[in-house]
Amino acid sequence: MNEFCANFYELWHYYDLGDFSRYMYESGAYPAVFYVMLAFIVVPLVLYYVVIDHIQLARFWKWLVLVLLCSLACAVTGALMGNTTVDQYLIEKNIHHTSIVDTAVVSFGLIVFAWTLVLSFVASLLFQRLSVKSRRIPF
Amino acid sequence: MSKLYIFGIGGTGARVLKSLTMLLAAGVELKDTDAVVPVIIDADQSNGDLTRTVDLLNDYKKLRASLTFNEDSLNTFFRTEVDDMETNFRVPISNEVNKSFGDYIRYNQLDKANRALVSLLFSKRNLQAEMNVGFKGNPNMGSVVLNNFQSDDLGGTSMKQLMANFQENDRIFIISSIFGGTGAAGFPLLLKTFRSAQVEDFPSAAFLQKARIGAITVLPYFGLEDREDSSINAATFLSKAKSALTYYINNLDIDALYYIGDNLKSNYHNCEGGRYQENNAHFVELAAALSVVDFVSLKSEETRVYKEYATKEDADPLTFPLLSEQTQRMIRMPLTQFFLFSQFYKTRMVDALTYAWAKDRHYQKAMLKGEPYKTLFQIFEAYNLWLGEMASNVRSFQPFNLKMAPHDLLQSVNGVKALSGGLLSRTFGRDKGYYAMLDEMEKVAVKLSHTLSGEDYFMSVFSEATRQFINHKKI
Repeated sequence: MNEFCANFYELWHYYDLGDFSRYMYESGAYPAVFYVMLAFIVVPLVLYYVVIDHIQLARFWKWLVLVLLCSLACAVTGALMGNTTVDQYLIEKNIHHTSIVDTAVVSFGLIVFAWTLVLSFVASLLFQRLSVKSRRIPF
Repeated sequence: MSKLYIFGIGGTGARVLKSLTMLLAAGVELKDTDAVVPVIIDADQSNGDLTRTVDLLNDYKKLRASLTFNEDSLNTFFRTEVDDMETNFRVPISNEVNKSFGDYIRYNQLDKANRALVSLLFSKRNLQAEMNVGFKGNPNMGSVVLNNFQSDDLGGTSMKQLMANFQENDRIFIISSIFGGTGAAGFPLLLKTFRSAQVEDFPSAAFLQKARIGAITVLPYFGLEDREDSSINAATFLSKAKSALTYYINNLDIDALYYIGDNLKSNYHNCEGGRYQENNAHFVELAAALSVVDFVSLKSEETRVYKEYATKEDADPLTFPLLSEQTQRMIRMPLTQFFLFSQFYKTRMVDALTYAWAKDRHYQKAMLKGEPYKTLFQIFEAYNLWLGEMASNVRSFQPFNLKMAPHDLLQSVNGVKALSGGLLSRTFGRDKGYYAMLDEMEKVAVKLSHTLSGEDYFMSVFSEATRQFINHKKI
C-alpha cells in the first residue's frame, strides 16, 4: 500500500519532491494521507447525493463549490499530515540535515488537491446514479 | 364504453360547454365514456361566447391528439377524448337565418286568416327581427325555426350526418337555458327530434329513440342592464322560465333532468347577440357542467331522475369548503392540479427545464414555442381568464388566490394554509412552493417509463407531481 500510494502522489516518479518524497515514503505517511483523501471524497458526496439529496443543491455550481472546498480542505489536511509525519520521523531517526525545501509541502498539497478534485469528479459520476434530485449533476 | 353527444344550445349552452371543457382539461373523469362529442347549436354564428368555446374546444382537441393514454402514463389532464365529427363543434339550424323572422315564415304570402293567427302569436317586433344574432330571448320564434333539425339542407354538417354513427350505448346530453330564445325553444324540439327519429331522417333511428338522454335546464342566474332599444328584457326571464317549466312537466321523455339557477344576480351588458355577447363566466355554468359528470355516472336502470344543485351555504364569494362534499370530490383536486400547473408553467418553467427531470429527456427552452406547448399555454391563459371571470362575478367563485399564486404556490388555494417545508427547506430558505413542486417532479420522473413519448412524460410529471404536492402540503 505504501508503494502504491507513493507512486500515486509522486505521479510514478514524474513529480518527485526529493528528500520530502523520500522521507514521506520511509515514514509510511502516504497511506494515511490517501485514506484521509478517500474520506474527504466519499463522505461529502454520499451526503450530497444520497443522504441529503436536496433539490436546492441540485445545481452544477453548488456541486462544484462542494468539490472545490473538499479538495482544498483535503489538500491542507494532507500537507499538514505529511509535514508533521516527516518532522516526527526526522526527529526519531536523528536526521538533522536534509534538502527538503519549504515549497515541497505546498507542492505536495497541490498534488493532493488535484487528485481529490479528479477522484471527486469520477466518484460523482458513480454516486449520481444513487440520487434522485441530483442525478444529472455534474452531467 | 360509449360516446357522449353533448348539445349546448344558445349562449348559455356555449358557456356551460366551455366550463365542461375546462373541467375535462383539468382531468375530471367522465365515467364509462370513450369520447365526448360537443356540439353548439346557435343561430348566432358570430356570438362571442360561441366563438370562445369553439376556440377552446379546438385547442383541447389539438393538444389531446399529441397525447397517448397508455398504462405507463400517469397523466390525467385532457384524458377524455373530444371529437367534433367534422362539424367544427357547430351544427347549423337553418340556412335562412340571414333574414327576418317574418320573411322566414313567408308572412307576406300567407292568406288573411293565417296572417291574423300569426299576428296573435308574434308581435311586429318579432316579425321584423333579424335572426342572424339568434332569437333575442324569444323562444316562440325559436320554436318555429328550430323545428327542422333533421333536414339535410341547412348548410354545413347536418344533424343527420352527425348522428349517423350513433351506437346503442351512446348517450346524449342537452344543455340549455330556460329563459333565453334559442335554448328554451331548442331543448324540447331537439329531444322530440331524437325520441321520434325515423329511419329516413336518421340511419340510427332505433338507437336514438331509446337512447339515454339527460339535460340541464338553466334557470335565470343573471340580469341585464335596461336598454330601451334592446328587444331583450330581463324582467321577462322568470315568466318565460315558468311558462317553459309548465310545458316540461308533461312533455319531456327524458332519463335525467337537472335544474340550476340563482337568485343572486349581476347585471350583464344588454347585448342582443353577435361578437359582443361575451358574458363573464359564472359559477352556475361550472355547476351546470357538473350535471354532465353526474349523468354519466347514473346506473342504466335509473330513469326519470330529477336533480337540483345546491351549495352548503348561500354565500358570496364561494370557495371550495362551501361546496358540497360531492362537488369537492369531483372538482377540487383536478381544478387545483391544473391551476398549480398553469401557474408553474407561466412563472417557473424556463428555470425548471434546467433540472434533472428535463435533462432526462433533453428538453430545451425552445420547445416551449412549439406544439403542443404553445397550445397548452393558450389553454392556461383561457383557464386563468375563466377563473378570473368567475371570481369577479356576482355570486363569485374564488377557490384560488389569483394574485398570490404566481409568487407563492403555497398560497394558491383560498382559505387553506399549506404545510411549510421541513428543516432542510427552512435551512435553505423559504421556497414558496417552487422547490417543493420540483421535488415532487423529480420523484415522479424517476419512476416513469422510458417508453413514454416526450409529451406524455411531460404531462405525466406535472399531473402526478401536482397531485403529490397537494396531498403533501395539504392544500
